[in-house]
Amino acid sequence: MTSREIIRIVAAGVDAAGMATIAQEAGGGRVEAAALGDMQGARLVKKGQADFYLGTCWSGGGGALAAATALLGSTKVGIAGTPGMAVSDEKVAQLVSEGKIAFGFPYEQSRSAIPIIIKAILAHHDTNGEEAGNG
Amino acid sequence: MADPGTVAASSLAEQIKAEFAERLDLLEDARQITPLARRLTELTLAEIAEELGVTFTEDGAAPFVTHLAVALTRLNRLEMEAVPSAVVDEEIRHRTRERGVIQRVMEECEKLLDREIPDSEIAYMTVHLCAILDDD
Repeated sequence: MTSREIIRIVAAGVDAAGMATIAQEAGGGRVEAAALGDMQGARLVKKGQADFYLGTCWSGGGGALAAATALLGSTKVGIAGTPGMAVSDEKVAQLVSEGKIAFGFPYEQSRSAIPIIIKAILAHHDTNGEEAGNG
Repeated sequence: MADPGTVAASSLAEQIKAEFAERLDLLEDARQITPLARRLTELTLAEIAEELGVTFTEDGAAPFVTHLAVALTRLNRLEMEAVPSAVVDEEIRHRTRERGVIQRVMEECEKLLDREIPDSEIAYMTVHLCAILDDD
């Protein structure tokens, strides 16, 4: 497997370290995930040194993606879930196909949301190759 | 001569402004937050820091600061408040002191925002604050 077949994820927000662990496990060896501050993580994605950004806050809305939106632009970020809307395969597949590279969701959904997002990213990457994400 | 308490509070406010300047500059420049929300965020942090004797740093308090600024912007722009979360409500069920502090400071913000701050927003601010206090 070449290094560019590895998807590089940055996780930021509430329990970023836990998020990174879940992402890495969900990737089954195809994902490298690191826990970072939101500004640092978004800057890595902007510079092309990471492919995707996962952000949480308690509400899943503005705080999870504020720094990513400021640095990457609103067209690159998508809210995948809120306390009233669970993250779903369909929603995430749509966001990924629209070219979103930063995803926000509530902390309470991390365990279910991250595997869904990773699965969608890998599926999109397999279909579209290096055009997918920020690679 | 200036009241020492006033001088200390002013100094604390300046420290907080400096600590979070990069973050709040970024968010304000990108119009993620309004100038009023930024000012209220800085004042809120200074009030809480003084009342609870907590030090807010970029390393430990970044999610709280961003949340505060975004939530106050939401209110300033007359957008819908955050959807309530049962998980958050349960998390802060016994945190009456912290909730009380947030509630009191937000009553001051309400006057400047000219809008009542809903319980759901108070709850999210409280859970962020509790995370910082628990880490300490």
